[in-house]
Amino acid sequence: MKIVLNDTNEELVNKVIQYGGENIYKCFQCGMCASGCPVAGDTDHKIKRTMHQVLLGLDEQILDKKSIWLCTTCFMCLERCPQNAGPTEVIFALRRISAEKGIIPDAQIEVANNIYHLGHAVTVEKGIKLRDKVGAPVLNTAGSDKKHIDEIQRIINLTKSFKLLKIKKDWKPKGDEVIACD
Amino acid sequence: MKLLPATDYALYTGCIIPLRYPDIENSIRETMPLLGANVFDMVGAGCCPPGGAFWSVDEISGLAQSARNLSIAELMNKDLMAVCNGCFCYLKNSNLLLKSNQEKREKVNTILNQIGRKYHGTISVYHLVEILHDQIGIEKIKESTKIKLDGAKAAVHYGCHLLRPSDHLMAENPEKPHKLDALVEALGMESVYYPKKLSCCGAGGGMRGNNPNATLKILEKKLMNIKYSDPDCIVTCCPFCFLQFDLGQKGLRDKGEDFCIPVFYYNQLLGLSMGLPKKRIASISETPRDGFIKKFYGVD
Amino acid sequence: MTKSRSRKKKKESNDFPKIGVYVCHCGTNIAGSVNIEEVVNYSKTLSNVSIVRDHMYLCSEQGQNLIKDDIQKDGITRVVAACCSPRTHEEIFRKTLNSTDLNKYLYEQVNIRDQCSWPHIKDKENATKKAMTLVKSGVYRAIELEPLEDRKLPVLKSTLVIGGGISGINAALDLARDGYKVYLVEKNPSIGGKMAQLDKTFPTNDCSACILAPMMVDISNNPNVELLTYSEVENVSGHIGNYHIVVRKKQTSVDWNKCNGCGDCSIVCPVKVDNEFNCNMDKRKAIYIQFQQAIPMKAVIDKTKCIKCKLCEKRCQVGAIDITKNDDEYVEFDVGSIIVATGYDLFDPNKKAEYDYDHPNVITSLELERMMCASGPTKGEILRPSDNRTPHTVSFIQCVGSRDEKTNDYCSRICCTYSIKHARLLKEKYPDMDIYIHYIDLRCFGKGYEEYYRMAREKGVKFIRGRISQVDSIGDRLEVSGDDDTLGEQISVIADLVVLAVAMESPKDSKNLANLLNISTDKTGFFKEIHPKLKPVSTDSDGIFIAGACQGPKEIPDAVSQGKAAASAASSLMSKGEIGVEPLFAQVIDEFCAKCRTCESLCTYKAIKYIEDENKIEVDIALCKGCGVCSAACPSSAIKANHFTNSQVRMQILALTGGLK
Repeated sequence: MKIVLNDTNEELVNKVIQYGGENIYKCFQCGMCASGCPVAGDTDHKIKRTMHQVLLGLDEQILDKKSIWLCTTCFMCLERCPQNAGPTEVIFALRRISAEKGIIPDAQIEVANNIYHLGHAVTVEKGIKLRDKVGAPVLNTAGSDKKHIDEIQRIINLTKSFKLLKIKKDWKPKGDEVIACD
Repeated sequence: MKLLPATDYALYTGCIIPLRYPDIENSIRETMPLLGANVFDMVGAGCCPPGGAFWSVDEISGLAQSARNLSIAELMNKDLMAVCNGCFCYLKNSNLLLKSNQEKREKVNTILNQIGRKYHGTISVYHLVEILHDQIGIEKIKESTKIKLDGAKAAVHYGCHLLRPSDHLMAENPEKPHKLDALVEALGMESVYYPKKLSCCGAGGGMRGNNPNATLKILEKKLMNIKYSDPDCIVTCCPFCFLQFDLGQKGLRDKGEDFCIPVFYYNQLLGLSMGLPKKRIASISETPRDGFIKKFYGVD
Repeated sequence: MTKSRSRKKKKESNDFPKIGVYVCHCGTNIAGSVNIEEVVNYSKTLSNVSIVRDHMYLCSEQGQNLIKDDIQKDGITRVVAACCSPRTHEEIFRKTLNSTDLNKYLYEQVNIRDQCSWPHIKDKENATKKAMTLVKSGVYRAIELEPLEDRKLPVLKSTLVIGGGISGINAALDLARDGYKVYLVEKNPSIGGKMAQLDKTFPTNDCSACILAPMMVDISNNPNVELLTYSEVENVSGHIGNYHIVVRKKQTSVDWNKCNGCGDCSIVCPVKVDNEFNCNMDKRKAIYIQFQQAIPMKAVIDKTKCIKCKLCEKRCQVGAIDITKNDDEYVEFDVGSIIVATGYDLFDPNKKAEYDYDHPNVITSLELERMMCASGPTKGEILRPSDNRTPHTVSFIQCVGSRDEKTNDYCSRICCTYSIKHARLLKEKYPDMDIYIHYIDLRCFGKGYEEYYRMAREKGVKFIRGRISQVDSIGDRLEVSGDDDTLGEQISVIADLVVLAVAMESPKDSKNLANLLNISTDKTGFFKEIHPKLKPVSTDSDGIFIAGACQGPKEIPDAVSQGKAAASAASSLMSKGEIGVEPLFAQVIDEFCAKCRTCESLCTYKAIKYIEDENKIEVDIALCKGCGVCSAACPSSAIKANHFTNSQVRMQILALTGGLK
């Protein structure tokens, strides 16, 4: 596919800067980010290409695809970037922009709903059984009491994330599998 | 190195440790006081929250939830001990950001005000490894253990969010960390070299949920590198990495691959070396470790 | 100058203050965002201004003639030019005035380019207003300007060259051949510098030693050069034309007048230590001659390593060695100018722990260079340090410590081409060798370098665009993990030898030398030239010049050019035996002076001294920089800074704070 580059869409890069990727203009496409990325070998998440696409304003090539959600946020690129361009920060910014367009993967939605309804990223009932089995003290974190969960719900209700993460009032966890934590 | 006095901490357990690996929680609760670091419960503490979800859509929402957790420790007037790399990274980052950025602090406090809380910025966030290495010290750990793991080879996995971004996480050389290795060697084990030691386990950022195939492929590469030195076990200080190694190896075995390296959270080995009972501190895992425990601790 | 005289002079020149204001467009540089017409019209309204003109390029001959004509025909007595930076152009317009009857210090320059059009490029209205304000301040100051006369200072016809690398050698030779006395100080036992460690040099691949050694011999044979090796500059005092230098000659414990360089002492010496000249890849003795072509070819005892067994003393047939000698010697001399050519250090690759420099088979480019050299530790064979086997696969990692905000953000300029050189030479010697160069951008900018790069490709060297993330040990080999930009994929190379193209850095002690010489360094630690284009070898201390890599990374041709340029600059300073110095120094008005000596204690340049016998404060005009601290601090206004007098500055402040009307 031939890409016509004229009249770069600066809206995207400006938004990335606004949403936390403020050092993107420092990027000189050396490839250090892609070079140490744990994901690049097995998926089509190519961080260097993404950085370049943002600078060229090729938003439809980034935001409509799932690749930005494949970053493990290991921060290796950010740590080693010789220009301090902050590739991981750019990924976070792109995720925020993408979420505003309503594009967000199921795993994120599920974790967020778990946190909203259970106080934790994972289901609580199974945890209580396991605690009992190994003789751990009675659970007293957020998941132990409705009043703690209520605090967390009120925080989320007051932020954009309620809408962006598609929080549902009637939520049933899919299962006890741990899908995301950090 | 001059050691700082170990003291009382607010123990922030997160989600995975209390709800999937409570044996790790027991190992922390029971070993740390023996080393002079008393831990106190953070009643009502919620998810940190994770970078993969809340931070990925809205910074303020991530900050506000972190600030709620920090405010619980502030009311206890104790520094926070994080026992999960993800929790450490996001809580420490939030704490630093909220301390330095007035605008964000005010935004967050407006939200917290609605639930009768306030963030003050009066405490610090530490990772368990920092407390063990910098405050308790290698010598004290050596003295406290009864059983030495002579001849055992450990593959140490630091995990990403303990080290990076290095400018605001643990005080370490991010390319040549040594603290967890030193802690492992304090138990008498050899911390072996393996290639790409600092690379990711493949779990974080939503990856484990979003792309189960890729997450296993990344793990497989990591394990291939670990196998380079044929270790007796993997030692980590992050429950999510622990889970990835534990369940991920099972996932790979289900696909017919041969990966069965015992995985331990550091304090589980520390506790076993102190003579604490296996059932309470190291009994939950999908990848069997009884062989290791039998061989090196002589416990069934 | 007494007060009454200065008053009289001022009155004379102020009788008919006729000011000419000249506004320059500088093409579109100024006119692009400053409305010249408005500035011209405004200038006409200012008092004492009798002529206002604008010109496309005021510094052109035509522009200068405009000013000249107005002075000669219309009797203009003050000139205010609103144009670019005085740093580059003040001297030009002063000369214009000088070619007429008008004193050249009756000139004032207002910089409406750097201060108006450039910083406010998108705000023409305010840029114009600011330009008008600045012109006003220039005009007000011009009213108070006084004619001044340059001072003449005698200049000694001798030079101190610090650093005996290729740049310092060229500077020293050029000056010595022109008949100037040259003191060449080198901290190592031999001159030759980094170039002496190189095997071949790009882009012609001629042998480094073969082109360098004859010049080193020339130095040692030239009667005008006094060679002070194994020595360091200890103290510098004085000023342009007459510096007093103290050099510390480190104790060698060998009488160099007797030593014939036979090397017998090294043979019998039992102490083996790391050989710095071969990048610590082999051993030298505690008594040693630095390298085969050393100039002077004399032995030195490494006092920190010597066990005082005296075997060398007994062996030496000319009786040159006396190991009981411990004290350093000091030599003192005077020179008219100084050339600094202290070269560079290499980046410490341990700072990039991801490249695993601890591993024996990860080496720096200079280590490879020593291996390639027939007189090096492996006699020209390329061997993996771990097992002394010839490597099959070699990976070159570029920009190690360069173009990196975490270490050095500048480009080291030479690494691309030297790695290409290494790859080519390896391919010539071992045609089956598998060679990869991992680069970000290839910057082969010099004459003949592009062709040099092409020849490397033709020999089958593989060029991979993409930075390398890390190097890991895999068995007895190394995994080089990176990215290939063109493939868009991660790649890894299993290599036997990894060569790190380490950056050039300013020498670690350059800050001390800068303090000693009172010259500036930039943020990277390299010495700072006054102007990167027009005064590339001059420093902010007149009479002190810089040459070679101590000014910034550069390859041999540029280092040589700068050495020669510095020699030429020093020569043109010294040739007449005297120079004119701007009279911008402080002057004491004795009748007002209470001898409180406040000025003396404040002067950074130690230019002010109290003369007890005469009960007088005196300013050494050669040392004084005209900074004005003394004048500002004097409680009785008894010391004035020429060309920046209180009334001149007061008028400027008045203009700047009084608005446009």
